[in-house]
Amino acid sequence: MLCALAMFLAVLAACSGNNTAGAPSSASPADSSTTPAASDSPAAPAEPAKIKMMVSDHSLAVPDANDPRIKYLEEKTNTDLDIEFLAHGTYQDQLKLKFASGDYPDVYQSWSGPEADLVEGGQILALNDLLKEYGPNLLEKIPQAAWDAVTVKGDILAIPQPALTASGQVMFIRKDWLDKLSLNIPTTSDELLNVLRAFRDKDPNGNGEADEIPFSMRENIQWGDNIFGMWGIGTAWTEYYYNNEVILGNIHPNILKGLEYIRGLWDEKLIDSEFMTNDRVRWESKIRAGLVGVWDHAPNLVTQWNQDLRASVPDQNPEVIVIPTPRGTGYDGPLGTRWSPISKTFILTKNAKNPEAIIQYFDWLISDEGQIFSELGIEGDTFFRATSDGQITFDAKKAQSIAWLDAIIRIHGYNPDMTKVKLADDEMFTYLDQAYNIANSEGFVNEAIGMPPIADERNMTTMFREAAARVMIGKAPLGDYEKFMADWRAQGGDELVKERTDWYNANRK
Amino acid sequence: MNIRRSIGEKIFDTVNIAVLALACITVCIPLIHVIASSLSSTNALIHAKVALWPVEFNLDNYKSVMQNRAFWRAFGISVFVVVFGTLLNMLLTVFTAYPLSKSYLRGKNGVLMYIVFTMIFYPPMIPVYLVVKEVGLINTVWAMIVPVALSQFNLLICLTFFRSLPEELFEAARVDGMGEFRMVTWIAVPLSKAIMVTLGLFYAVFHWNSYATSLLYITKSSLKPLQLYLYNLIAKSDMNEMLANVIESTTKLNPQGLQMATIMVATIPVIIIYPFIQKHFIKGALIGSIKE
Amino acid sequence: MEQTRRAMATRVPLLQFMLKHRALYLMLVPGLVYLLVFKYVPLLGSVIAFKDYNIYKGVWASDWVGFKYFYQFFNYPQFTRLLWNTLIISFYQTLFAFPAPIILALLLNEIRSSVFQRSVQTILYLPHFLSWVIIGGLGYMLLSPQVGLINQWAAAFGYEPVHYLQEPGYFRSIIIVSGIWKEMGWNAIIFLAALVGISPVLYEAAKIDGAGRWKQFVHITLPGLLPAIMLLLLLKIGHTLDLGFEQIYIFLNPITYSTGDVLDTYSYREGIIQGKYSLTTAIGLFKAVVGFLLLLVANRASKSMTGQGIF
Repeated sequence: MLCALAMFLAVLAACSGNNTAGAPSSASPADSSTTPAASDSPAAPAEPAKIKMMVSDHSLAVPDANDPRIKYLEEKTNTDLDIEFLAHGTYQDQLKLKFASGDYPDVYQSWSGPEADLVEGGQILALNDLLKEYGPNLLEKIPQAAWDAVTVKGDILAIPQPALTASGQVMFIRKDWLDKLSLNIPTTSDELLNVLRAFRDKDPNGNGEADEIPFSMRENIQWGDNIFGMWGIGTAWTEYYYNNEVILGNIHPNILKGLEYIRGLWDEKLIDSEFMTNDRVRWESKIRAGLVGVWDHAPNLVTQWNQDLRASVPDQNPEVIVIPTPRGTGYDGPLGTRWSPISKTFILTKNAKNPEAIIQYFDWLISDEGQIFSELGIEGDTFFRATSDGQITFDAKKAQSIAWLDAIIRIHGYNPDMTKVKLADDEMFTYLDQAYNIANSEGFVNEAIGMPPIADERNMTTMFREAAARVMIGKAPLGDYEKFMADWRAQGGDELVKERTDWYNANRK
Repeated sequence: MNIRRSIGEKIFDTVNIAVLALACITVCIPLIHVIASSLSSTNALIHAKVALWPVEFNLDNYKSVMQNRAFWRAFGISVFVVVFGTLLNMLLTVFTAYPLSKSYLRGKNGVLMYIVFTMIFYPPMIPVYLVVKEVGLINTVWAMIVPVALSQFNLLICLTFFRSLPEELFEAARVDGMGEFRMVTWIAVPLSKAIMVTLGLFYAVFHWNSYATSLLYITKSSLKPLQLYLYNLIAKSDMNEMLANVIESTTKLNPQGLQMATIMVATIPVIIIYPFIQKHFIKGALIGSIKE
Repeated sequence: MEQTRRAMATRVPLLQFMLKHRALYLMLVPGLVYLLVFKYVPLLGSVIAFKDYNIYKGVWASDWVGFKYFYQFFNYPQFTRLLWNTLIISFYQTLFAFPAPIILALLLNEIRSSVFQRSVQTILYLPHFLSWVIIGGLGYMLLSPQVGLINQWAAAFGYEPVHYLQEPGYFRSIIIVSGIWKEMGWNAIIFLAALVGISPVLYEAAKIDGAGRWKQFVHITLPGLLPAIMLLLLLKIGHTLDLGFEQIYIFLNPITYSTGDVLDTYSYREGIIQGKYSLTTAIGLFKAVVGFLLLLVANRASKSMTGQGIF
């Protein structure tokens, strides 16, 4: 009897893995021809379309179904939304589990295009025709690079939210320290060296102790990308078309320059001696304690850094600005960090019974009205329009209560007008605008975007970190890294390169 | 009785006390620092000013955690899980360990291997989830109780202790006509008080502190237990390095303080209850029973 | 008498035996069913270690690839190092971290003042409740070259700061010591409970016979603890390749991979984070097979040497 029970349960478990074969795909693009083409005249008598959505809660407090903004959104888009907010920390796992047990929503949020497995299994809806019919705003306002990132073999497989900036990591510097020491903003790697040396020696934080940390980064060789970026190299999942091959940045010859530079920083004590063990909290604490001169971070955080430092070290009159990535000696290619054109994405599944309604929902969100809503909330509640000149003011105290709107619902990229209103601080806005301009004017292509993910990276993550770390802190000569590059290729890396190059040649040339 | 102790014994006792006191100090000092940190302001922590006393005393970390109604709901859920979970655990443990402690039970070794095998080979996440789903436990409070109804480790401990109970006791009871079920309840359990209490403590602490049992099975926020609630609060999103670029933002509420507040919440109930448990660690539970 | 009784027992057919002791067998059913449903059935899913697991296709329909992921794992150039690190740290844990709670329990047992004994016990188990993240932070405060206490004291004597967290030579010691600090008190509870179960009658009788504390310890206390000790030791052996992942992960960094990268941290970096379920399951199976075999061997050895064993 136990055996029978076991078999029964095993069969049940097996079935739930592939029960989706039977789901009829009523949402084939062919249907769209029967519904009205105009996207801005909702079919008046139509019932609100039910949409089931799964999203990450981005670690924010989430609204319940009766929240006025949800109601407003449903009204404006003529939908009946059933949004399931899943905990951010386990979001990817949760999604996988739900899919594995056959629980598919109509649309789900991700940070890239859909997984190859799902596409192969026919679970994902291609959106090309739907967008032409129902999403003109989307097609107009979302840049081509973003669409390309979610397009496979000509099929658009997701609605991408364009990233706020082209490149996602920039160099921050304590401007007040530069001013105090009468230094110019460094534009080359050598000038940066001189600035760092001055930071180390001349006590810019004015406390009489040589406790400054000229440059700091984080463990696992993260958040130091702009140093490697001085020679155009990205160290994580970045691929280049070089010498007729598609290779990872980690085995590109220019990476040696970056490693050598950091090694120099280490020898001269210009880099945080604990950078290999800095976790996020410690690294932030050091910066906020007014000890660090230069660091890398996301461009949109320049306002936060300024606010944080003013709170923690007010007597230093701190000023944090973003500077363009300096140019590495002997290099004349693109500088900065890799371009990633998308932040989050929304993917429609074959389950969706009203894909037209879903496209229209997003189309409204990216319209001017929708953009105001997703950034500022509802008029009269979180923002006010002056009757005299139409000037909009935003109630910053309520910002936290609609943080989810911005992080989860919003589909548009950078809207300077909205950002200005939200910040309500012209000084901060200047910093932000400047940071965004820099982030958008530097950076380089990452071939990996739009390519299928690497199935077996031949242990690059592990081996790179180890080989690079050794060189950076002086435990091994630079030649060892060159040896690593050759060894990695010989021990299976060549196969990976060939795989990627073959795909590139077949699909991109 | 002989109360005179030799010099050797006196030295031993003194050294013993000294060693244990030293061990206590190595534990106390870091703990005091942890407590002080959780009572200090963010600014003080950033500037690394906190040693063994709170600097810029404030209860922000605790306030932000405990002011939420959600916190208390999660608290209630945890209490429920602890009570019913431990109950189920102890029942299963005792009644599975007892037969296996009888040396004459045929097939015992096979069953033991069946049990130990599952301790070493543990199934991957997705199949476990599928089973829990098929049994209908997802998003129910029982998802935190039934899939962990029995700890093989605790079972083996219980088993080992039952083995040491003299068989003569049970023989005598059998002659008196007592059934096996009653023998478990009226003989085995009372004689193993220290172990029963210890295992109960282990299970209760496990339930109180676990978030793994609910991490993937509970998505309804009204059903989240305390540790899961706190875990989400600390937003362990840093663990996914590939997404770090996307959701990076400087931490608003000091995570160190939050973490420490979390630890406080986890530990205080145990500290309160433990003295009551220690009372049961009385020597000589067996005295008198053999003479009967 | 005894022999004939035993001889007669083996002649009774199994079914009859089970019927006679049906109460005992009945008691086993709920526990065994639980293990069947929640352990064995999902264990069938381990087969994804031999497949290219595709979530859409499910466990059974995914493509069979045989030992591909095992080869991928074995072909990691530093595989031997992973294995060696895991074994060495496991060995040190058995050598140092395993006896620590036993010794602690014995020492506590000898304390006469009940108040002192109880307070010490309570204090010492508290670190069990700290997360490894917190303990990592404490370790940093102690060992950091910039702000760590040890280096500050050393500087007062004119020594250069040592980056303990970044020197492969210190890594294993840090792991062992922090592990003992955290778990010694909590793990002692089991042994304290065991000590309580030793009949005082035995001690009385020994005292009357003139045995001193040492003799009592060797002939009564130790044998009384032996079942618990052997059980826990055997289980530890069964988990030889299973080190505490979180602990190692917190203290590990690329410089200390040479002495500290173990199977679990490798599996996390190359498997879990990248969503490679088949690889992770393959590594898990490998660890389990090795652990189980070691357990069987150790069980047999234990039975012949100490008479104690799990089965």
